Amino acid sequence: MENNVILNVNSIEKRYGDFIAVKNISFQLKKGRALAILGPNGAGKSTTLKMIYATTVMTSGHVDIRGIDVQKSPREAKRRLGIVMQDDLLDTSLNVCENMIAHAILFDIPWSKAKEKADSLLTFVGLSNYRTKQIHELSGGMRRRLVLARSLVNNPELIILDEPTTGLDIQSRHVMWNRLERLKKQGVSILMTSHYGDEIERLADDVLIIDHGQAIASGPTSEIPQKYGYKNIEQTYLALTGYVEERDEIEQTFS
Amino acid sequence: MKLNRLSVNGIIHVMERNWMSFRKLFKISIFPNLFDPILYLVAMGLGIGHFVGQVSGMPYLTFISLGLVAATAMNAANVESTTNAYIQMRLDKTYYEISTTPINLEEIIVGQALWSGIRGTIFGSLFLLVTAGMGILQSWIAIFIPIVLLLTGTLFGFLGLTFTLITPTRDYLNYYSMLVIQPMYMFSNTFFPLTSVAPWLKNIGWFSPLTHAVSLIRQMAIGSLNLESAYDLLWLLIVTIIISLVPQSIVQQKLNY
Repeated sequence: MENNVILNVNSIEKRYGDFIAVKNISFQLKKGRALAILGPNGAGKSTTLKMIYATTVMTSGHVDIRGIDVQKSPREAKRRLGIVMQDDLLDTSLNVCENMIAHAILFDIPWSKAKEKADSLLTFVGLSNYRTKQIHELSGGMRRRLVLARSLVNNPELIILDEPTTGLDIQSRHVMWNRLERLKKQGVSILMTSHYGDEIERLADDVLIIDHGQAIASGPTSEIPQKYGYKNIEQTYLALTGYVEERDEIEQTFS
Repeated sequence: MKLNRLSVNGIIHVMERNWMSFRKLFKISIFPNLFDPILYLVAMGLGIGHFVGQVSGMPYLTFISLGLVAATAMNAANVESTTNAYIQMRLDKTYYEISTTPINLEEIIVGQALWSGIRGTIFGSLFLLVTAGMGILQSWIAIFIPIVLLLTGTLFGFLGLTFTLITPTRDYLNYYSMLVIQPMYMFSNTFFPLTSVAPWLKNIGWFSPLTHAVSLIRQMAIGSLNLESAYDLLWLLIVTIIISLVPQSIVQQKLNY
């Protein structure tokens, strides 16, 4: 069973002086499973992800990916990771296919192989007809799919996505979800942040709700609402983050 | 301060990635890179040169053409490691994207500095061809000048990256180019020999890497390498190594994405 654990996050913490951005977050992610982190803007979601993929140094705690310590061996850990950041960070001087190749060569993938890989992944995300298009010619949804394809060039065992569908239209969101589900079926693990209840219910097996840098609830997505006596994830989340009372106050003030 | 281990592959990949963008823009970047030295060549070499005659034992046109070869490499490397690097660091955040792969920030810095060196070599060599066309090169040793251009460009690459990392806003990069690079351009044995100026200016000139690059290239072009040339080469090598440590040691702290 231990062998199935892809990602192990143990009491990670990030402090900036006196300010605690992330406090004592722990969770595990198994092969082919998806975990979503839900929390208000500024709650520490992105910081948590960045500590996991080792671009931000953690103040304390431990993260390993397939048993590889991300702080001691970031290079080896990152070889197994695919990352979809909040910003697309595409190179506008390169076209669609070149963006894929430029990323692939960074993983020591030879040029000819990188080209092959780029072609098959662009087909996977439905962008095979856009191979030679410039980045500014793509819609927001296409850019997101390109970033997803880019994150897969090294056949990652775990992909980390920071708000994968924020700002996308409904069709684009469904395309993203469909591809992420197919990846899960192939045994890829997914760690994501999201602001959408429907997205989490559809994709995430487990959910971690954080507020002010701390975990306030965690467990299987299907069980969390019942546990707290709400209908769905969104209502549970609103209640747990104190939104309901605040709204009541506002309503009282104005009535 | 802890320096991450450098992987040669990682550094090469950073250069490959730069090459991918560069090859598309190469043709349109030839003109701006060569216009500046050609302008100086015409204005100073043909204009002022008419009144000057021999300088340091060679015609003035020869003297400044060879100075401009080194200066062209410096300027090309400077643009790459300041303006272009700033865009990749702060605006497009290409460095952040790269740092999510197995490549670390130190490798990005070294790769970018070497790439600046390659860019300096490309444009410096193009201008060298212009001087060759003018019949200025007198020795076969001149075929090794691109090696000096690579070293010079890389040195200015590390220096430029240091300022790009510490600059609070993009505007401050202009100060660096205006207050550091431009004076070096003028007072590094490029347009007039430092032997003929006031001692204090001569002493300042010694600290300019361009001075040593220019002297070395001039001796190579006319085929009169001497002990001082070896000293210039050594100076460039040692200073490149020392300066290379600065951006590597601050990059983690300066680029926290």
